[in-house]
Parts: sequence; structure tokens; C-alpha cells
Amino acid sequence: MNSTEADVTREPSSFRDNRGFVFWRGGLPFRQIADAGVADYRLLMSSGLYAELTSRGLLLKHEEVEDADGGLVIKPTVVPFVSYPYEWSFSQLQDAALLTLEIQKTAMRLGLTLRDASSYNIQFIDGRPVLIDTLSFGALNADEPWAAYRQFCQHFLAPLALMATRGFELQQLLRSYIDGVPLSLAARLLPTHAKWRPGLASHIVLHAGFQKKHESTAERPATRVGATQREAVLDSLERTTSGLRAPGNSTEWGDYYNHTNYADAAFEAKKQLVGEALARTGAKVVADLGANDGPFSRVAAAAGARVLSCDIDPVAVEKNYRRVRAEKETAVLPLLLDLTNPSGDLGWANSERASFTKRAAAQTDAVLALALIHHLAISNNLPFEHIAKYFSELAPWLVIEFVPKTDSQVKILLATREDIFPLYNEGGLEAAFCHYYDIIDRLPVTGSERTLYLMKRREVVL
Amino acid sequence: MLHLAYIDPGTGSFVVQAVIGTVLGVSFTIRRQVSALFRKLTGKNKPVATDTAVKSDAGAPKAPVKSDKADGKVDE
Repeated sequence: MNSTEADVTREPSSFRDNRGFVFWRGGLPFRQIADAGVADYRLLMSSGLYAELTSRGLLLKHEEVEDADGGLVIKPTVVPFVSYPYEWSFSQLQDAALLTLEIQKTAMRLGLTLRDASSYNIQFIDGRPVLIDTLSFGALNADEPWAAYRQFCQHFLAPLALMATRGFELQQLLRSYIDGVPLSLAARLLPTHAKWRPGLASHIVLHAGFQKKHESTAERPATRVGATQREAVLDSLERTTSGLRAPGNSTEWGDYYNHTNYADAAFEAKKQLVGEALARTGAKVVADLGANDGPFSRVAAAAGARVLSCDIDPVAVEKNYRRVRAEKETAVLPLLLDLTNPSGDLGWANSERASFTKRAAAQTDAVLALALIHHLAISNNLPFEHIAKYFSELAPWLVIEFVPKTDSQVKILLATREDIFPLYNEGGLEAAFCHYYDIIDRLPVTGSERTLYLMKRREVVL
Repeated sequence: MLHLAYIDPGTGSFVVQAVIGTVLGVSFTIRRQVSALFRKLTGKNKPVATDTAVKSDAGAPKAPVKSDKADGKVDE
């Protein structure tokens, strides 16, 4: 790396591994391979593992680049949008887990092993999970247990098991426990019936017990784990992981598209309206906030945009991802997002895992906010001006739907509470948003009393 | 030995793998041999070490519940 270049910065989350690190140059990511990592990197490339994993789309591709200092630098394919496990649906986390195990099986077959099993090393690219850490591999030593076993259980198996048995909500433990859910905690939170399932009994409950038993052991016991034992553990992890089911009953997942209460014609008209508004923005990246299971994200995708399809409801995000997977969609990235409390800056020095706001603002061209404003302004008491300010920080364009008090959905929100929102009307919205945006167009939404606004961010806030 | 571990693998996590691996090793080996025999008898030659594994095109490792055709849902 030529450190005299002014625009070179080291990736703040890349500090754990002594075999290399990620840095940014000219807005692009590079990976410096330290002397300690060269042998393992060469082994990855010469063993055929890199070729096999990249040809199957399981590992991020890279190319070797010239380095001014004579070191080894690789240039990986750019990850379009970095997301984190606490923003994924159950099946996204499960697929990331199964990918990790599949990669470990393939690596072991070729005499290598994964040195880590961090969920942060998996990213969703074109709808599929991909391992992005080229330096995760090392030579497999005979009789050695899997060094990343504990990390796999904490990052993947424990949160999946807790979600499957207790509910989606427990995924949010991953926001607090950035190195995965401690197994002692997971063992305590699992319901009794789950503790007797052989896989969970082994990899979580027994595992937690052994951790406690050996927590004060100063010398490592001479544990030998042969090839068959190692494969049996991996096989069991795979069976246990794939055997977990998203909470909720399976019929709910199967036929949700039949459960629409849209009048078809009105819904199609709204899609066309939204598509035309988005086309006028020319947006390449759209943040669909309150996306539900993504019908309008697909309108944006059809217009050529890449879409961050965000919703607060884990069931909707799960449905959204299942559709991406089933239809092999590449442009829509379903994400779990509570807009009233989006993912913050987490980890060491608050700089390891960037907030949703920072990541989205860095690349979003347009915010799409349909059937959302009443949830923010009424359910969450947010003044219009706060909403306008935040959206304008995310992207230069805004397509937003105003849902009036006469709308049945707003009536529901106001049914049991005092109406303290005298300015909740189109005039109030325009008066607040015009400080941050030029209102380009107002479009009536057919079959409702709603209005779709197209707005462009002002260069100077009024 | 153990030069691979730049993260702390945990002593208990090492020992428990030996225990689980030993207990499961027998049934794992039997299953593998049965499935190898089955493949031999049926003439199928899939490179599968275990019988339940993830599909090799593991971008979508788990089969979806159902393919969905229609569009849309309530937007509230």
C-alpha cells in the first residue's frame, strides 16, 4: 500500500486478524495480506479451493493488484451494500449459516479450514449470501478441532435456535452481543423442550457446560479430534441448523400472496404511479422504507434500481427474502429496520459496524416512503420537520405518500388516543418538507384519498 | 498445532467437539457407508459425504416453502 496517498483509510472493522486487513483507496476496498498471511493465501489459491468456491458463487472474487511497497494486495469485488446479521430475516441468517458450513466442508475436503465463522463475513450480493473474507482460510491440521466452532455457535446457531423457539424478537440480542449470543445465555433462554433436541443439547447446552467447566483452565488439554469426529460435528451442525424453522406456522409462509386486500386495479395503478415517479428521479439505489414484503421494491427494481427493502416487521422481511430466494431476484435486499430506532454505530469505538443511516446515506439516490408517514407522525409522534430532515439526509430524492386522517388506516391509529395532530394534513406536510425539499409533483393515488409526492432535496435548507 | 486460531477457540469448545464427535462419529460413519453403498447399488455417483447436506449450489441452501407468483399485499 502506498501510504502517501491521501485517500487511503483503513477499514475500522478490520483489526482482528494478524494476517491482513482491509483498506479503502479511492473509494474502493482492498485487502492487504500481511507476511503472516501469505502462505495461507497461496494455499487457498493453489489448492483449487478458491476456484471451486468462486465458481459456485460462495466466495467473493478478487484480483491481485500491484503494490508499491512490494507487499501482497488483492482487490475484491465490491459488495453493493453492507448489511449486518441483526438486519437479516431468520432465513437470511440461516442461509448465511448453511453457507458457512458448506464452505467449511468444501475446505476440509481440500485440506483447508475456516479459521473463523463470523456472520459479519457473510454479505448478501445479488440476493445470495457470499463469504467476503478471503483470508478466513488456513491449512487443516490433522487431529485439530474446528477453531471457529464456538464462533459459529454464537453467531449463527444460538440466535437461530432462540428465534425458532422463542420468537423473532430475540434476534435483537445480536445488536447487544456483537460477537454472537453467549452460549450460557442461549442455554438459559431455550425452552425446556428445545434443550432436549439432540443438536441443540449438544452444540448449545453441553457446549455451554464445557465452556463453564474449562473457563479457568490455564493449559489447553491435549484434545485430539480426528477426521471422522470433525466431519460428524460438522454434519450435526448442518442438520441442526437446517432443521430449525422460522417461528410462525408454515402455511402462513406459503400462501401469503393470496392474502392481499388490495383492489387489484387500484394496486396496479399505484404501482404504475410509483414506477413513473421513481423513473423521474433516475435513481440507481432506492431505500424503500416501510417496504412490507416488497411489492413496490420490485417496482423500483423493474425500473433498474437496486433496492434496500426495509421493514420493521420480521414476518414481512422473511416473506420478502423467501421471494427473493425463490425467484432468484438480484436487485432487492430485504432488511429488518425499525426506522424509529435504526441500527446504530456499534462495536469498538462505535466504528466497527456503521449505522444504517451512514451506510444508506452513502449510496441511496431516492427514499421511497409509502404508507409510512402516519406510522411515524402519529404512532411515534414525530413532527413532519424531523421526518423531512432525516429523509433528506438519506437521499437527494423522495417519493412519499401522504395518508390523510380520513384514511381507514389512520382512523385505526387515532381510535384510542387523543388527536394532538392539528397539522397532520397535506398543508402541514408541505410546509414542513419545503424547508428541505422542492416539491416537484403531487399525484393523487387512485382509489384512495392519498397523495403521492415527488420531491427533490434543496441544496440549501430554508 | 493451533496456529490457526487468531480468535479464541475456547478450551471448552475444543473439548466438547471431541465428545460430540466421538458420540456422533459412529452413527455418522454408518450413515455415510450406507449412503455410499446405496449410491453404488443405484449407480448414482453424487459426491455427497452425508445424506442431508446442503445442496451444492448453496446460494440458496434451503429450499423455499413455495414459489410465489402473485404480487403485493397490504401496505399497512
